[in-house]
Amino acid sequence: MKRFFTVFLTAALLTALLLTGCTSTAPQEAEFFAMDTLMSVKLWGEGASTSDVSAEINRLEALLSATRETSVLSQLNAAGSAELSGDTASLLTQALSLSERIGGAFDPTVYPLVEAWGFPSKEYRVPDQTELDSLLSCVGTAHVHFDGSTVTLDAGTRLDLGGIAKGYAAQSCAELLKEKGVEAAILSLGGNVQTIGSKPDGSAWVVGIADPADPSQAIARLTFEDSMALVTSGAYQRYFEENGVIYHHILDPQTGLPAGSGLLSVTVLAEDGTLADGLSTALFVMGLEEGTRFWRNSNDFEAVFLTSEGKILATEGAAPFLSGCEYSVIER
Amino acid sequence: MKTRTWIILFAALAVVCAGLSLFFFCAGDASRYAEVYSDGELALTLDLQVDGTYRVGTADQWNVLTVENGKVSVSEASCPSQDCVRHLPSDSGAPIVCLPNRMVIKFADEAGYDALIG
Repeated sequence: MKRFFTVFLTAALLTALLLTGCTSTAPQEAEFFAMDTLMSVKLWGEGASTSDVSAEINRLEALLSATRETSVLSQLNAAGSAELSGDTASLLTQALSLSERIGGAFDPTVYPLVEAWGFPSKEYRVPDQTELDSLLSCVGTAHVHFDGSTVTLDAGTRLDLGGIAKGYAAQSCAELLKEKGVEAAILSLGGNVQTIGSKPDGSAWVVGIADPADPSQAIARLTFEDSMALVTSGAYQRYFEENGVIYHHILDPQTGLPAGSGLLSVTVLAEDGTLADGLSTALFVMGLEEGTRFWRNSNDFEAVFLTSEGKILATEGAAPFLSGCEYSVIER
Repeated sequence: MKTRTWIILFAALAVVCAGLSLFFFCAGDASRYAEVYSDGELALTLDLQVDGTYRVGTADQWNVLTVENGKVSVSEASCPSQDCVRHLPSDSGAPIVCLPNRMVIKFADEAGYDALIG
């Protein structure tokens, strides 16, 4: 009998240890709609919950949305002037700084053009050249006068920080979770992914890059082990068709037309989520040649380009993370 | 411990393992199913092996889902953008989403990715 109990207890202890191992690595998971996209959160560790993330994103959306009448940004666009502080001031500062660095391929004043194409309302239309020319006269950061707290817009100019808002939200949530002592997390906010720390089970993070021909499947994967921001901008993400022509949502601020740079998508890898978000849009507008030149003169991001010819090109810092596809390396 | 004790110990572990295997076997092939969420609530579980047409949502905001050849697609929707209708029929990977109607079709088989960007 004594022997039987010894065996029984040993087996029970082993089973308990196995089960304990399973529960200790089980993450908290949640999905919710915000910023006009489906977001998902997975986090490991105590000190924070997924509702902390959704609350932070909802707080930022209430400030930064260009489509909510009550947001600080909408009130600025309606009045032409406003006092900004906190996140709104910080994001506008970063948007203007990024636009200046890139030289116009990213511009937070394209909102009148985006509206003319019907992307915010989803009532799509093709504006004629006269309308585009009229709106282009109000586009450009020279029309934004910001001293760090007071911002004034020239007549007809309106701001849209949507090009970097999700990246800023991901960055902000990452900082919040780190402060709360979260061990590891992955945030997927539309085309933005932010990882925090390393996965508790010791395996690497694996993030697929969507196949432009079938965005529910991956065309390549990025494998890495620590905190990183990854953002993809692609022509396939939002578009409409009229008279057999496809018009996508990434507009060239210089022409007011959907950017035709020969790329299907650009994925940017960086430490900073806001930077990665803005750069993915900008590199898509720039195209492969200009984007490569810009990368060679920078040291704070890496990129993966998918071209219209079906080629995949990775900058030499991104290449070690890339697998599951054939690709060429862009050397510095 | 004596040999007999070891035999009993391994026999006990074998029973535990067999039980767990049977449990997971009975749980079925999850990749054949898709879950449909409407405004965050589970509205339907689709067996992708059985062709059919299903309507989810409300009288004003609705999507018609079609299961055919092991894949599901949105064949009709009340939303203005029709982005969900343009989504290719799928059986795995990233969810099919209709943002205006807050409808999500999720697949059990996510191909081993922590996330899919794009």
